[in-house]
Amino acid sequence: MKTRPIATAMAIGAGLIVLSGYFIPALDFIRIEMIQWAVVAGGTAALVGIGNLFTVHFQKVRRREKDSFYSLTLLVSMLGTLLAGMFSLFFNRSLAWLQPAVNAIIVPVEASLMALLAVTLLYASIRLLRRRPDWMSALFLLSAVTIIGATAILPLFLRDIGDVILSWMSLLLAGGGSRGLLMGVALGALTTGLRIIFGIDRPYGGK
Amino acid sequence: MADILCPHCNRPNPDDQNICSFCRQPLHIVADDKAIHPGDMPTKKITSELEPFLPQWLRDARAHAEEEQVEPPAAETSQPAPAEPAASDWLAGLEAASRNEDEEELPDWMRGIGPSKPTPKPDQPKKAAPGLTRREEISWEEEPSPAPQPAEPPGTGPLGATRSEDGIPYWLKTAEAAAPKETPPDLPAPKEETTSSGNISPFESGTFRPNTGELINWLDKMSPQVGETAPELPRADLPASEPLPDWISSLDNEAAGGKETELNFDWFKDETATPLAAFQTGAETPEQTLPEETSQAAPPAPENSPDWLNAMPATGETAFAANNLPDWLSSPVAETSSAEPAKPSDTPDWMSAFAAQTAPASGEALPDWMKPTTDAPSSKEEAPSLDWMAPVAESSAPKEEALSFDWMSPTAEAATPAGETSASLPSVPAFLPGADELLDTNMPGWLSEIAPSESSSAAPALKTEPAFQDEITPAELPSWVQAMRPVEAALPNMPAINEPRSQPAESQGPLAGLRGVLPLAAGAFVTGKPRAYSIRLEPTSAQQQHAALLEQMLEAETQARPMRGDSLLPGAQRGLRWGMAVILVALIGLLLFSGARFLPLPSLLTPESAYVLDVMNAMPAESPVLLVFDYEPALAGELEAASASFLDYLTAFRNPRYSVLSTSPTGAALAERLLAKSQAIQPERVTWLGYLPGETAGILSFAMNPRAAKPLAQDVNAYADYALVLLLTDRAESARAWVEQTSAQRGGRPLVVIASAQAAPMIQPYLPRQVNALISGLRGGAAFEGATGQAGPAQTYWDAYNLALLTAAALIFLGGMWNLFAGLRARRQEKADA
Repeated sequence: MKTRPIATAMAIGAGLIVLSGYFIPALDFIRIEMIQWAVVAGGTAALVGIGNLFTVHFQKVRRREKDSFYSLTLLVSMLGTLLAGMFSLFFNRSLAWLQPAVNAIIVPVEASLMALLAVTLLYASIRLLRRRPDWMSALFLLSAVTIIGATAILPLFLRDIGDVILSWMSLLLAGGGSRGLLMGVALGALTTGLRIIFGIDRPYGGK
Repeated sequence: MADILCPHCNRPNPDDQNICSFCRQPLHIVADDKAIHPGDMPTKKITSELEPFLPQWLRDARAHAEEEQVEPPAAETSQPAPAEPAASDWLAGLEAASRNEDEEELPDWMRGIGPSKPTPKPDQPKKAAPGLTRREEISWEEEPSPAPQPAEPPGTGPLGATRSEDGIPYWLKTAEAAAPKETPPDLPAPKEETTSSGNISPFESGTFRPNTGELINWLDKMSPQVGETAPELPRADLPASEPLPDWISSLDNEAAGGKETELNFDWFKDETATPLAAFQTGAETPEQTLPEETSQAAPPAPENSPDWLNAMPATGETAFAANNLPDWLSSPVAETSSAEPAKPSDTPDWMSAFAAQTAPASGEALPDWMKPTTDAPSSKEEAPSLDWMAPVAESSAPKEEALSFDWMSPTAEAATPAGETSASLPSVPAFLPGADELLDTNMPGWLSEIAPSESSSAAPALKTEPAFQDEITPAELPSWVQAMRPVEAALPNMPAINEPRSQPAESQGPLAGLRGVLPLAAGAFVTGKPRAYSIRLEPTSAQQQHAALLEQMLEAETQARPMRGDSLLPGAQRGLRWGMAVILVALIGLLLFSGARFLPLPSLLTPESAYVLDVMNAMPAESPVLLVFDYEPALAGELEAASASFLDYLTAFRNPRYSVLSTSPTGAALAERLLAKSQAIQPERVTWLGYLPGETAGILSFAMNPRAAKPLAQDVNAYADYALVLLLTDRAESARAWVEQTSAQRGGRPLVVIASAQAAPMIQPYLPRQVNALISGLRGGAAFEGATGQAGPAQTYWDAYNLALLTAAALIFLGGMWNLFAGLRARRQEKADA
């Protein structure tokens, strides 16, 4: 792949400056300024992404490709939401005109998807032992049943003991696992940052 | 036997003969494309490749050159050819070839070297005319062949003697005897000296046509040396046992005198006193004079030289006295010495006749073969082997072709400096200046001896003789000779071969004796262009098969495999799905719309929520609170139920000023949705900061300078001015970003996280320092409501939530057991069927 020395130099330089800003007060203003640039670049990237989405679906509609009706729906919804938000901010200084869209479309649709996901996961759990009748499947189902049952049953019948058991399960079992994951994430982030600073990893382009 | 007509003299010859017996010209003209001509730029040849093509006699000569001392055979010493040690290399080959019985190895061109021709085989005269030797077989144009001679080899006398009693070689005597006795009518009448002998030599008659075409090119190259080094007779090189002719000894002695810097042919000039003689001797053209070194460098005359040769220096300028010269040579001398007649006492008759014949012609009657030799440039080179011809050449005036001695023409052409002859010749000579040095090192000895010498002194003479330019024909070198030429020195662009002593010398092979031919580290360094390797992958057939197999495996991984051991039909699966969905929806809907609240709320806060009340109690009233909405609409129901009671409690207890910020594009709308449901929060106490882009960078930027990131945040100057940061999120990553990026700027201010149940386990590790309190999911909200005694949405969903979870757990357990046993039974049946 073609190397990009300029991009590599900029990435390494920015990383070193930002990192040095934490230890050298004189470089703090540079660090803050560069972070502001990153925020602006991130917002611009969101606009670019929205524009790219609009262009792709607009081309599909213009070419009358297969299932272009869905693309047309997306374009209409996008433009409608945009106009509603702009007019809402312009006239009411709020997003009140967007609330019907949020309450009637966005939240119910996504909530329905979550409900469908719950039913699908339930069905998959039931079929799991038929597809993979092994110990791991059995352990997974046992854990799920235990946690779900404890969450639901223990408060009903053993309120005090149930809270203690649930707290023990969540803080020790779940908390211990999550701490290990977070430590791994932190070490991975540190390593990734150093590799990017040293130019070993180039997620911004090059290799 | 069919005869072959000679292409030169049109005389019949036996077909098995390669050389014309009459004119000594090759019968078969073979076009040698590889031959080079004078002026051709030499090309680099690998001499080792041509080594096998060398004649056997040459190889033998080279092999035995250093081992054997050259001893001229007695039968061949009749001619005055010198055999100096320096020239013994190439003559050794001739000697060895002469001793070799297999004469087929001897090249044809070597057979035509006339006097140097060794004694032929006994059967050779049988092929020639009966009673005639090969030399006698030469046909004189003006007169038929003389009386048959005894069948003896040329140059040999009775019983094989090479010289007669008076020291004259028999081949000279033979030629003298075979010479016509009558002068051709077109030639001036010779003087009495020339006719006193009674025999007219072929030189006298002008019909002498010795073979010159058979002179190989290397011999042609010798002609300059012949002319240049005429006074330098290699007497010291002659074997002691071989007496030289007197006339040659005279030449030697004259040259050894070293007192004259010019070609001391005064004997000729004085005797002839003709303009031609003056011209030839350089009396009128000082440019033709030889340098002094030439005469001084002549070796001393041997003691055993013939009398007639030793007598030459005694004569002084009249070196070629008639008494020391053979008859055939003394004749022209006597003829040309009109002013000062030479002493004809020792001059052979036929030579005297010849001299008398050529003198009045003023060059017109000079034979062709003598023309070039007269113009042969002087040189500093040593006398080559054919110096015995120099006096003859110097004494002739080649103005016109009266005598047809064409066999020497090539010699003259080769002797003429190419760069100064005429426009017809190329500008590059066959032997470039300086090539003789390489000839001494890289060429065989016999070739190095014939290397051209400096010929600049002869240039003016040639310029004054434009008539010779027409006669010059390009000489041809055999390819093997061409390959052995010192091209490195001849070509200016080619690097010279350095032969440092530090490098090893070749001990065997064609490069034997040469140093530095093969580099020491020949294999250690790559001198040429590295071999180009293709960068394209060229897999073998086995590798291609393996790649195809791997590709098939990868394709199989992405393809959906049919379900194994399914006892239920697809319709039954769909019915199961719909059945579970109906059960859950019906249960949840029934509990929600019925308003049943038979399940009690948790009476205590969860351990992660234990500090939430302490945080609210510690914060000042009406202080700014940052509300961060960072969740998706899909989880809005869970988070709204978990946070609603907390916000109501906080608003009622502290009445803070809210600054609403969202790091999700839909967060702002969801925040407005949540706050709109709240009864306690007043819209005027809410500052909408909107969407914060940049994720982690945006969070850090806002934490460092809230006003710079969000100009609407006028109620705070710094991030630490917020009394409480309340984060509503459904993702652990978002909570981690806020924790990590704002810890330094928070200034000890509390951070309370209201998270979804799925993200709570990942946020719990930050408790209780980075995150002061955590309310996770509907259960956390219900616990807060139960702990604070508020009625909120958590209590509304609490029964439905718990019963739905219990149903789901039951379905998973029962369904899992069913499928487990069903699967085991199906496998048993499959095994039984198998």
